[in-house]
Amino acid sequence: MQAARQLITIISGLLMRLVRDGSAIVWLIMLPLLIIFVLGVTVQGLFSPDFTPARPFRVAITEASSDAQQHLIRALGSQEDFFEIIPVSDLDARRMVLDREVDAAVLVPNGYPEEAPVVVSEPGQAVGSILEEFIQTERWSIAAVDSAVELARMEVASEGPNTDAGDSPWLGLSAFEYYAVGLTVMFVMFAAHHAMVFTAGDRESGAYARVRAFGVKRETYLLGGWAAAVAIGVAFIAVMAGLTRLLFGVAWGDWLGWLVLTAVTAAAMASVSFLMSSVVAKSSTLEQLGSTVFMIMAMASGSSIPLHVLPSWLKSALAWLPSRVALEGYFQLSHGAHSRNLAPELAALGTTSLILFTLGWLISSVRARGEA
Amino acid sequence: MSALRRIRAMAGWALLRTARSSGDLFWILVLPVLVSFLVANMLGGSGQGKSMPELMVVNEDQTAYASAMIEALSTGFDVQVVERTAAEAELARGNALLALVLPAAFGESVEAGRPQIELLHGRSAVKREAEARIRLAAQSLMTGDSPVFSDLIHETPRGNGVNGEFEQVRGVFGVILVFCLTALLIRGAVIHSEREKGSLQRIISCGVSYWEVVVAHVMSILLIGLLQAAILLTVTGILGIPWLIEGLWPLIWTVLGSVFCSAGIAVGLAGFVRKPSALQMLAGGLPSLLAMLGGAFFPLDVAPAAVQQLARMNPFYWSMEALSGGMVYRGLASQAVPLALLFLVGVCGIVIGIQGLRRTELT
Repeated sequence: MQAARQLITIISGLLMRLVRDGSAIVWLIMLPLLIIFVLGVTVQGLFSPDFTPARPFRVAITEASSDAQQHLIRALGSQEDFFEIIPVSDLDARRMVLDREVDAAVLVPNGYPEEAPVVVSEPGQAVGSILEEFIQTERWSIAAVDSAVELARMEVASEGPNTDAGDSPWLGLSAFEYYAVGLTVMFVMFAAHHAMVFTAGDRESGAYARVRAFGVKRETYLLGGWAAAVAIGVAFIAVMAGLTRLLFGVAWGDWLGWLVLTAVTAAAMASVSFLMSSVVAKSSTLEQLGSTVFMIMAMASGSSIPLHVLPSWLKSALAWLPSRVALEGYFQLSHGAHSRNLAPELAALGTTSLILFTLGWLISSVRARGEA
Repeated sequence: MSALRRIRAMAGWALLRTARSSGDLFWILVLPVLVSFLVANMLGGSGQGKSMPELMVVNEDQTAYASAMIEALSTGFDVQVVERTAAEAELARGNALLALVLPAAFGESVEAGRPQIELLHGRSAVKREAEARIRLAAQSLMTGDSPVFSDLIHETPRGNGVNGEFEQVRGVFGVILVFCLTALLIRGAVIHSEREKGSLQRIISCGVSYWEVVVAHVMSILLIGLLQAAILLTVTGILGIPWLIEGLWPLIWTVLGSVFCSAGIAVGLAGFVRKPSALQMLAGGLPSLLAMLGGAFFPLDVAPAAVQQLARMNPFYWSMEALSGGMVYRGLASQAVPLALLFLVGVCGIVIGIQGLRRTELT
């Protein structure tokens, strides 16, 4: 009974320390909200299948001398929302891109469509890949123009959660939906880590020794730190879910599934942090280690860099990361999945929590040998 | 001791103190290298040899025509032959977007001159390019010409082949910009920390004038920025980032302009934000936001018009423009405007910051 009271006091004490830390609140709440807003507005085009650019891309294209070339110019020109076509000579087309008078140039060889056109544009900009999609479609269509092929299209109805993506639940979400989940999962790691940094700081300041002198067991203190990290994680996700729903209209899906997933996600992140705190005693080093590990986890699991653009080898190689598993669980909920659909994610996160917590506990126990 | 020597000593000491602090070194050098390495691996090879789109094929015909069709498709797709139930299940679960069925009478339809095929797809519409490829492959059975699905040729404005190197340089440069401004903002807060601790007052009571302290502070910010950039570029270069694809000068100009601008922003903010904790908080969020809105991490040509307009007021946008101007456009001629703007922002920031710091002397 007494241990339970002590545990609750430790948890509430650590929670209150975070709540009273104004800078931590700004860092944990305001910053992710700001980033969600900025990314939601900026990169929505990358997420939407109906993307059209803010203004048509200016494209210089080789003047046509054959029917096939003329067909391509007409086809690109008909996409008025996408392209403003300027027919010029090859030389002028290149010069215009170099002088930034146009966004891209298409040099169509005389042997077109058998011979591949050249697209000249700044690498990494969207105009190049959008042009490629249009040009290649036209290219194959011209080659098969007299085709007698009879092609019947049949849609296969989706099953289970309302998703068109299955193993890729990040597809079909808006930028706001994606980043609301992504940044919440990213920052919940930092939020949970605060509790463990606080407990490490207590050891340095002597607060831990004083608490122990009043009869609190080492185990109670350890468990209290971990439980506080979980509580902070749950509270953080709840606040972010509420605010993103209110501000950006993000739907987090089935509330029961959300609640269970939030609890195990917070437990998994707290356990990662707990393991680190068992290895690193110094609070400043623990903070730095946490920042590094969590930043890298966030990037590699798709929280900050969208999974759409990560290389497939990285996506499959790091699918086991707890942050990635949590991310996919929330994405499935956003798509309309129920709690029963989340069994694999819940099992993975629960097992991760158990293993990491046990490991951290064992290491702490070994390190604390000789402690009174 | 002359004023110049005092300034040099104070700036040098600030540099030395940073170098001796494991925490500072971690944030300024170790973490940026780790993140750069990760970003480089994510972006590496994005333009190197495109992989073919995947296509599930259900062969219900089993004739020589069906085999020929699969062979023709293999030139334009990564073909996987599966059972119909498996294809439907994958589509229903959303693990695939498209499956092609060669029905039982496929061979007969080819012989009759009208190849009949079925396309199964999920909720998403079939991509027009995929459909065009399939039609061309089916037509090749009639004409006897095997289809050739050659990729487009992508070139940079300078006429070089696009092989993913510039995307890598651009991505890692964005990371370095973020960490550079972060480090300089944190460094900018030091003068206020010293005031809070009382060490600034002790220096002034020893006869050092306040303007010398301010100049030394500005110098130390600039020096740390330049050193950080030089070390990060060298280390990431050794790790494989092709910084010198277009020679040394486009990079040097871009780095000088960007670091000077970041130093100006750091000094400017330090002149008006007097609480070290507030500056540190700005350091935590401002650089990342500037990078996102400045097109350092995502192409801005997909952003709404307002965001594209807003980017023109963002120094990170001009840093990225200086980089692309130097490396893929007309070199220094394309860099002139971005660099002029970066230096202008830097000078304005330093002037405003020094005025602000002088005001704090009186309060």
